[in-house]
Amino acid sequence: MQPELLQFATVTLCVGCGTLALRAAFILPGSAARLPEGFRRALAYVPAAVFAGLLVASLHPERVIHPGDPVQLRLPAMLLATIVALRTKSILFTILSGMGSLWLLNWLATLL
Amino acid sequence: MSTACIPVILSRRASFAAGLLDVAPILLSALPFGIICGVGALEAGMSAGQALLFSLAVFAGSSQLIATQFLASGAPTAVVVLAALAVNLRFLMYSAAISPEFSRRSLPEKLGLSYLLTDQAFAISMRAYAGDRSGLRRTSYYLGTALGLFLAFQLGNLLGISLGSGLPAHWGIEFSVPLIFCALLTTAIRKRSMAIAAAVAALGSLLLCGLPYMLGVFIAALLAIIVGFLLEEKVDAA
Repeated sequence: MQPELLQFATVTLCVGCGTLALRAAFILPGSAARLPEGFRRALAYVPAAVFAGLLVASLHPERVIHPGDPVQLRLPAMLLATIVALRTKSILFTILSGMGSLWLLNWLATLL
Repeated sequence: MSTACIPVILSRRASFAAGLLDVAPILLSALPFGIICGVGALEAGMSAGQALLFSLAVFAGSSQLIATQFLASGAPTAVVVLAALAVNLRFLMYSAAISPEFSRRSLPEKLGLSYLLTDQAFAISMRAYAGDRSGLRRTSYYLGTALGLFLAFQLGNLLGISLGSGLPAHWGIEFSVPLIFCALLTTAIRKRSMAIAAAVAALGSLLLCGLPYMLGVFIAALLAIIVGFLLEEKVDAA
């Protein structure tokens, strides 16, 4: 088996089964099972921590420091989208405002 | 959003329809999320068939996005799996909270209901269960929300896979990935200590962006969880 195919098969199987196991962990045994209080409190921080870390990483900060890289236009677009996200809590409006402002900034940059 | 006056016991079909009606506004977000996941899977090197299979196997948008981001960065398999599963740990909380509602279902039914468990289906169903909507058949209502989300997301995924390679590069569609993380982040922050944890993770990720395989995200997130957990009582009580 090719390495890429093997990696895809392993990732799909492990993430698919692992995710189902997490979802079913308390539904399958019924209501008798309970999460330890400390663990439950710590788990509540996982989404905010992971999403914030990934948000920064997916903006490619290593490229932003180079003047002239088109990635820099994403920062003001992201700022506007963040305001929209905070006000609406909507994925749809966040994507529309962020992509719309990025396209507008790109267009303005071609005029300069 | 939905009916204000509900008879004593609704039929299964009416409960299902009530769930579908309540989730309808959110489907508008599930569709583009699915499209981005489909495009992301192709950009990570998956074929169209693999992208579809991956989405059906996992059915968790943020986790799928994370896996494809790590795959695209050339990360080892173990790192990809751990990163994708880490963000799904929240399902443990949902599973524990919603389990009493499904306790009388058969094992195959419980498995199916578990597979469909998402952030939005959980939030909408728990809100309905906690309200005065006692006439609802709870499993049917949950199925209405969860199946609606499943279909919208997978339809979006199919669209993303179909469009993926045909989208012009200058559209910068990959920018929608941080935009989705931004929207998810704003809904994930529910108290001050979580905002601090998010700030720690963001700063840590920025400082550690030079590490390979996005390991900086891992380390920053772990540190942020510890900081948030330790500050919880002090900060949120203030």
